[in-house]
Amino acid sequence: MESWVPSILMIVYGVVVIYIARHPKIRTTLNMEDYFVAGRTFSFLVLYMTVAATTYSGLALMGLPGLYLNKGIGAFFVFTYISFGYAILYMIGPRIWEVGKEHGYATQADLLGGRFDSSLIRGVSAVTGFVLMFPYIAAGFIACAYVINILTYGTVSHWLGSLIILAITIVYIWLGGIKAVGWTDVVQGFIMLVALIGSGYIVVANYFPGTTALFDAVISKAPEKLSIAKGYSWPMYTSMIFMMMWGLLSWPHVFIRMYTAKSKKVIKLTSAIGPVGCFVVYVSMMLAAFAILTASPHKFPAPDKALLTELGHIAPIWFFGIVGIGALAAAMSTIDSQAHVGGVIIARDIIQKLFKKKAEEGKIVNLCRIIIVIGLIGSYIISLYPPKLLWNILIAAYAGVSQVIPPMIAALYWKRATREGAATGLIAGLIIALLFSYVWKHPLGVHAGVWGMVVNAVLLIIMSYATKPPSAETLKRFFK
Amino acid sequence: MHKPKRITLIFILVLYLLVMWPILTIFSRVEPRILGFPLSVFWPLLIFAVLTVGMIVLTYTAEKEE
Repeated sequence: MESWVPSILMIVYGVVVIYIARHPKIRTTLNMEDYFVAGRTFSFLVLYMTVAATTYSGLALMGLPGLYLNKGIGAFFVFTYISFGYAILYMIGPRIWEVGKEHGYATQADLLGGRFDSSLIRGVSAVTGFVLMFPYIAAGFIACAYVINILTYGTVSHWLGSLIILAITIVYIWLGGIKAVGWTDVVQGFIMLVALIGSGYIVVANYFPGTTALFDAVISKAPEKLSIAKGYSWPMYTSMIFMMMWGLLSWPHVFIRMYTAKSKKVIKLTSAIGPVGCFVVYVSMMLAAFAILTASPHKFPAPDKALLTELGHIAPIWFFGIVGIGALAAAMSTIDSQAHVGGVIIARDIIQKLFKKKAEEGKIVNLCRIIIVIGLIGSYIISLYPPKLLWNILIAAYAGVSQVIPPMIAALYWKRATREGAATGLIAGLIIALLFSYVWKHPLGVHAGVWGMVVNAVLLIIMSYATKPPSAETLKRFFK
Repeated sequence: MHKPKRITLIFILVLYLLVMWPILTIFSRVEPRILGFPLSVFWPLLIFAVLTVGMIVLTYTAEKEE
């Protein structure tokens, strides 16, 4: 009978999430500003929780222990890139908010297309963000499917688990747009934090009296896990952090959150306090992974399933259920944000701006909803073929998405940057990132994404100086 | 136009360099252990804590919005 507890908790969770999205105060109107950027009204609490819940995806609870088990503290690159990614949001986020509010922007491509007055740049950045989101969303579905499979003791298969999450996500995004995403993230974020902290504590406390004894065990049984260089080479470790800390901002689902804030101060506070959640989550997962590595007698079907499987053996059944819905919350809060912004990108950047400029707002919002559903179904199909290690999907996607950064920084701060410079840099960066990821893999051990960013930035500068400066009108609009 | 203050840029850059190669290699060893944590684990955690506290302080001082 007790084995039903996790399943019942999952059902309750699904109902609560849909109830929140249906709440009259959250349910969206057919107004684009409302559906896309919540009317720029998010307070500190909502913005903090939605950025945190979006940043710590299912990869935190499912993927991260797997990464620590494989790479030891080499997995600190995740911790480092997120902390410094927040620092970048701290510095640049207020400027993005300022420009977005002034010009009514809702997406990253809005800003690039507007500043450089270029449909090409708008289209390339929109399509890049949209396409690279699919594998990321698929990783979320895979994490959810793992969770449901473990929580139902294998009764619900991988494909069915993914399908259940697909259905719930479609319902609440359809109803609520980014407001539903933001408010469900508040609830999901709290559940996720409790689950992550609690699971770390339970696993460590089950085998060790404290962290000193835990690290004594790691030093004697697996000392290589305490060396970063044993997990990744130094060039790879350093370059991955550089690419991903910038890349955090370049994900459209993170970027759009800069527009949703009520004020610049809200963005600064959110970014300043952001690493706190990161600290708690990543330390907890590291301790849990090391405890499992050195003391657990149990066998695991895959590193990504280790923590949840372990909790199934040692945690009280109700807590096992809470951790399960925490993992679902972590994964779904990222999936919904990405699916939402994917729909916004295509509806706004491609359909509205490039083709049907005068369509009614209601039609655009409905179109956005349909694109979200199609995107989610596409990601669901990808999720039916899980990789060895969930994190590998994400690292590969970062190489492409981080190419938006050089033109973005130039758009915000460099008056001399021209359309030709930005377009050449962006396209060359994407080609280099692709070639160095799959043909000539990571030259000199430096990640392909960083090579792309370097070529991107150099060409942007050279081509900008070689072409006519932007018009005085454009500069006046952007640099007050 | 909003720009980060110079002190913010320097603060974040210095902390970033402290957890990057080559400086990080100095701290990539087990001894000394601090509060039970190996140095290689403690050092990055310390930097992240300083980063957070520093950004909060900057929000209410140098980066305070008018």
